[in-house]
Amino acid sequence: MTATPEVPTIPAPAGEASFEDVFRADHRAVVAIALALTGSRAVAEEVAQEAFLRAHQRWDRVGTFERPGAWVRRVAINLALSDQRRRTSERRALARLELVRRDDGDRAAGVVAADAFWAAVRELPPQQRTAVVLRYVEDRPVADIAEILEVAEGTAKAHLHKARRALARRLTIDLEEEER
Amino acid sequence: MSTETLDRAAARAVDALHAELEGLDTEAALEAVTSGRAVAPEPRAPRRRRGTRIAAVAAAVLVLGGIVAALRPDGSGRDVRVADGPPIDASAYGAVVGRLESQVVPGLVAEVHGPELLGARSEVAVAVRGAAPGRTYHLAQCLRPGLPVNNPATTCAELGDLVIGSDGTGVAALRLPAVFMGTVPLRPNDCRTSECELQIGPLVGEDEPESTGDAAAFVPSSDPFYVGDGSAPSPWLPLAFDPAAEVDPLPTLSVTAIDGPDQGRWVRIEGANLAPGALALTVQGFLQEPAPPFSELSPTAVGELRTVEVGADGSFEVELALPDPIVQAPADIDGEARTPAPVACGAAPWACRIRVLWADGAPSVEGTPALLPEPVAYPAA
Repeated sequence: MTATPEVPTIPAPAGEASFEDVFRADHRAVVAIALALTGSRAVAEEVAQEAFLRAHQRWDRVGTFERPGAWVRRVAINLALSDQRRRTSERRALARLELVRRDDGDRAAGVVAADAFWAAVRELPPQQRTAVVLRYVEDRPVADIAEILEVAEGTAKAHLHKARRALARRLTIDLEEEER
Repeated sequence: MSTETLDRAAARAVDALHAELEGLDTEAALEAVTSGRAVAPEPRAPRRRRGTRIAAVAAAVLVLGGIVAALRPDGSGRDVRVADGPPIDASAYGAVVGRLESQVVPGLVAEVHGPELLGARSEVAVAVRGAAPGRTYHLAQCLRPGLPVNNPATTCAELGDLVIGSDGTGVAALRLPAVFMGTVPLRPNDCRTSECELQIGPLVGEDEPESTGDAAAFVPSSDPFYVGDGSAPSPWLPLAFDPAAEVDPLPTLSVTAIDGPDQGRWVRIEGANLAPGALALTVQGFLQEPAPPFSELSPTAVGELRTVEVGADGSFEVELALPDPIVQAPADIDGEARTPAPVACGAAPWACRIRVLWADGAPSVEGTPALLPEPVAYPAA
């Protein structure tokens, strides 16, 4: 981008929370979600920035939502998944190889390395990936996940269940706890 | 089997994730957004990406159908035209051959005008009325069954967007190829012999969710565009193509073993009927099982990415090194987690398969059709 766009002044918050309040409350969480989905901090920060920028530019509307933070998360998730979608087939294959290599080193110690865990998460289908990230990164209940994904609670729960089973199988570890 | 549980592994992974965010400066980021210093990065703008994909599809259409004289009076030669210039008269494209009514918004209707039987590259017009001004509808040509356009399992060619005007109407003129290049899998799809459909899907902004509750959508579910799970089909209209329609030769990629000292280590890749220009390729090796679909192939190894030049005649030839060996993932064998030995494909060609990959997203492939040929066996060393 070469030209500096005209950015409107911050509109008066239509709801109780101002844009700044929402930003300060949710920024780190949104970056963390994007990081889990993309695997890159730089991309995650860009994704969060873009999501908040859009919220800022539409604050007269977004600010009226009951939970503007959910809107920002949804936009960030879509952007992050879009970034993932851009990954080429061979990059996916490379990521899978990387997962195997990293996993090998830690398996001897009986633990799953964090990067192997997230690499396995990023191998999941988009809905399952998003559900499990919201669950683990933000400790979100099923109802919140359903709201952000814009699906029924039962659907969100099914995504979580399938995701956890797939992760356990992929990482060859126990699936001990049931979804709340 | 590891000694820990999934939730313990997840907790440790989340800790590591947050540790990676050390030093994140929320105040600086906030200042960047509110001061206007933060701008949406162009490369990730979805609309632009979609345009890129549309350009690729359009190029594929040109390859598949040949560059023919423009069918429209404006002679633009574009495959998608919307009413951003002179108004498009949908009825000039033929009778109404398909109709959709919104399940949500009374009076919201989409009609397709065109010939009863579509030829190699027939033109149709899609007219929408009763929609919210400014709304964008996404148009795609797909193989049935209809899934959301961006569902990973969907085989579609994205055609373009239709933007609704201030009077609640919008018209787009489309050129529909009898054979289109789908995104997944990356190969030609023949609508003369398979059932195809035209999808009309809602979009809100770019990646933005439907949050206002006043959806003027053709589907009862929320926007399935990006986070759709495949359970809610996009609305679709069946397309009837003439089985006898003649199309130009399809693009091809082929892989053959190189004889001699490099036998088993190098292959020759040949392409034909492609768009002239740069094409980025690599070779993927994978174990024979499981079979496609491609997204489930595992484990794999990938060779070096190479950019080749497609000549004016649409062909190229290049030699690429085979990735070898292939590392296998740990597996549950007789109740124990074991890591199988890497497979040396040159020594065990029966176990491995080769696929040529078109490198999506690289600037060098702009306007080049995406191909994913059927896999072939590794050549014996």
